[in-house]
Amino acid sequence: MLKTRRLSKIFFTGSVNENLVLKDINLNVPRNDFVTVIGGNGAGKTTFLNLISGVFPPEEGRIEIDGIDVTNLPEHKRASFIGRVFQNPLLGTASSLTLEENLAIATSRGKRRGLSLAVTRKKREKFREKLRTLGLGLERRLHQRVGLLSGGQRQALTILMAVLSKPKLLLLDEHTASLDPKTAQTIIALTKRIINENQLTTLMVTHNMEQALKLGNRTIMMEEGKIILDVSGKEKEKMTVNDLLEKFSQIKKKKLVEDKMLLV
Amino acid sequence: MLAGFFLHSAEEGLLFGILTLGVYISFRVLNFPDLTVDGSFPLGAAIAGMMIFRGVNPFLTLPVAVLAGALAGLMTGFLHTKLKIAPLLAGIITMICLYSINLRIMGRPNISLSPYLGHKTVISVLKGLNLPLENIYLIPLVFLLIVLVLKLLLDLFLHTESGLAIRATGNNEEMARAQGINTDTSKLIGLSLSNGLVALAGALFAQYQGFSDIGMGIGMIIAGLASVIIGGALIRGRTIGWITLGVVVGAIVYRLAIAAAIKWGYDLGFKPTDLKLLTGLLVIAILAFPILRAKMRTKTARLPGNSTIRK
Repeated sequence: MLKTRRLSKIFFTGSVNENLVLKDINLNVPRNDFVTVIGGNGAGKTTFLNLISGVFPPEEGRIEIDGIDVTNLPEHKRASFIGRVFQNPLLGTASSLTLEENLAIATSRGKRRGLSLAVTRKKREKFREKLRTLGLGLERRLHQRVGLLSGGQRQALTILMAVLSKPKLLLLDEHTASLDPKTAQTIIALTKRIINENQLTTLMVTHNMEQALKLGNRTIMMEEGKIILDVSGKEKEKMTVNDLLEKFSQIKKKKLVEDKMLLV
Repeated sequence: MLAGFFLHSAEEGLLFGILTLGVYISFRVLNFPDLTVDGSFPLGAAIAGMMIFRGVNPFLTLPVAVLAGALAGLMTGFLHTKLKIAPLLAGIITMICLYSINLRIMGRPNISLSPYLGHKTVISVLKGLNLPLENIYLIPLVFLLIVLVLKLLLDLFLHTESGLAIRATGNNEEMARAQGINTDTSKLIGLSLSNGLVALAGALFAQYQGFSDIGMGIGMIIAGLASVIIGGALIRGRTIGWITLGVVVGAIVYRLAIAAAIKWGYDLGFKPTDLKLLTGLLVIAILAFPILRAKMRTKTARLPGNSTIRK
């Protein structure tokens, strides 16, 4: 479903601050894969997701979604294939618009936006039904502005909006990182359920190693702009956080040795 | 006599209501401080003046003015979205360009439109219809009708899929793009709509006051902004329908306040030439009011035993 070939991103090209954030990323994510992405700060996880969703273009390489080359497609056009949930709950929804207006915007994703009324009675019924499945009582607040919702409620709404028009790819960028632990749990449960129900191909960035191993069928670890670990299936199921840390330090050590050899 | 003076201001206020609806679109809906207004308002006036001077049907001046205003907005939008020029600067650049363009259109700094010179304006044609209604009521009613129809059309548009896309763009650009909205297109549509309305107001205003002048746009953006803010303070509805109603009411109240300032300011030693200064001071007062009020509240709340704490 998602293919990247030799994908590289450089920030501040040609200046003293030039920074190679992603180096030759080759990733192949088959349909219905649920991939969790882990890595330290500055590993390039968010940059990777931003490249896939088209926030900025890559310096080199190619991105394919469902066999279509989207490398040069602008962000808003790619959005018809991609559902996104951000770390900041304020980013995914429009606060001055009502719940139903936000949902209406999400239903029109990938379609031409014309001069027909955005919220019709029929759509409103559909929204109410969809909101009911969240179990947060939001179906009674269709006419309220989203700015009145809590962070967790907004994030739940964003997830619903991301999947409303059946995306080919769901990108979750640490979408529970700024929520309190209990709310984060609720949102994770909701995420799992929605991904399962809709059979979505998903990339989920997280800082939480335990979560990364528990969720999905595949985990990749990024470090200094490269994918340094890629486990899936049985291997992933057996893996513990300690194994993961062990692997991480092994790879790091090996790299350190290689660097030393270069210097000697 | 006084009533007539204020009726005149209310009529002006209704026309400025059209301008204020335009300013509302750029400032509030798109969150784009668009200074093009100071150029697109006289653009509409210049077009009306030039066309009427040449004997064209005055009603024809209105769609032409709207179109020209929309083009001006499109230029500002182009400067911002394609050439990445900051909103304020993009608007100022268009405004400056329009100054020369407006002079070109009129061929001189001002055109007088007078029934005594045989010029037919929208106003004089309406008055000449001999409707079973006194002229003193006819003009404000027609203006009221125009501004209400435009308000309702705008309300409707802002509830369509395109309108919602524009509102989302102004509210949260990241969200808009993530939801597949072309934010550049949203801005271009919003700005051309906004300046189309502003130019329409200019074309009508020139015909109402009987002349087009190159300087009549100065400070229009401030007047529009002040009206939007006054409207928001007077009518505190959250829905689009209430907000745009507030915008129109704000424009009328603003005009009346200015009229009062002219009327009684004279006795206090102000001259008509001080009007722009007074306008500026009025807008500062309006903008500062919420901040000062909040400061006052925190101060009183800190005092021990003050009852405001318990509220």
